[in-house]
Amino acid sequence: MGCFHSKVAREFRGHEDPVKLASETAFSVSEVEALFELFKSISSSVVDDGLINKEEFQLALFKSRKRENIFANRIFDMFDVKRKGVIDFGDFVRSLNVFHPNASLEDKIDFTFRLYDMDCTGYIERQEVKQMLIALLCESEMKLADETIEIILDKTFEDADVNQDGKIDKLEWSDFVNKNPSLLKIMTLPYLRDITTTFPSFVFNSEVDEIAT
Amino acid sequence: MSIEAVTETKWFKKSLETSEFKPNVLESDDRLGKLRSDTITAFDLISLSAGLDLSGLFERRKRKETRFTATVSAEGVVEKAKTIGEKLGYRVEKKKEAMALGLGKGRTTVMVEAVELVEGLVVAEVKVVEGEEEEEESYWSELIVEFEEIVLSWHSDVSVKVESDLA
Repeated sequence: MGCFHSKVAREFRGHEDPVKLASETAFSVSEVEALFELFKSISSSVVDDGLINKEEFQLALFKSRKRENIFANRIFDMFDVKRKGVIDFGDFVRSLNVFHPNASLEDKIDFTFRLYDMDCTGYIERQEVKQMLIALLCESEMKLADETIEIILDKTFEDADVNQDGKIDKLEWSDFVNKNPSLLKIMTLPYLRDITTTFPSFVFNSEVDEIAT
Repeated sequence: MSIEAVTETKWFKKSLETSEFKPNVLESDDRLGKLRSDTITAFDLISLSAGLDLSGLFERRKRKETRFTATVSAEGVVEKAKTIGEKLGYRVEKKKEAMALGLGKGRTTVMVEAVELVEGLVVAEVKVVEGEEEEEESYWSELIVEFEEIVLSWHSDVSVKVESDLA
């Protein structure tokens, strides 16, 4: 009744247009609207400013504000596309897009490469992998002898570092992942296929003509 | 608009569906159970991190989960889980191609997986993958106590009781 467009405009004011986001991602407009419901919930949990800060991200992920985790930090940094220290709605949707079941393998492989290249050198170095492995062991309180850690690292680099230069480059990573596809399991969130059911949007889409008040 | 017309709208039908997400248990994360000690790489382990599991963003509360180092083999853990499940009246579903087992009762499903990370080190994970808060608490405690027998050491309990401000 004319109120549809102004309602949508009000709802999304200050955030990127859902129609634009839908056109640039694997999400439909209603899915982007559903993601907005999720985004609103996360971004208002600590500071109600329409942006997700590190603490809110941790809270959403772990249901605990103070849980520091180097991998979650890395994911946060990657979602924080504009390096502002906060994730806005556009960043949120575009980043989650890579986790969509329909996103390309190439995008997922590229994301994991950048994820594990913690110091952003363009290579995944042995020292980086060691650091990440130790962090994981710490996190899950698993104990492995130093020797065992080295053996695991040796094996990993034997498999992945084909030119044996002590680091894994983009191409080597791509080949490695294609041989070990389970490494990409973290890159797909089946939840994204049913997002409109999990987070019903109250912004009426154009299929609803009018609701009697 | 008549009542009948309202009930015909897509919006109304959608609102009748439960908003609680019901993951397909067959799709459940069984990363641990699929690892093979002879082929394990550092990245297999690294990808087990909770920080890389974004499904938490979509869940309204933390589901119960825990890991432990086992005193038995990975097969032993799965066998024990099966025995426990049968003893306590759970539906048991063995996963194919993975050292994993699903235990179901009421609307709750618990996944048990185990892997021998390196020779002699068996790590098992017990986690609720589907369920309602009211049931979860009691089913969890009755199950966990039964596992004690094969636990060498509990890893830190990952679940956190939360006063949900995301509800």
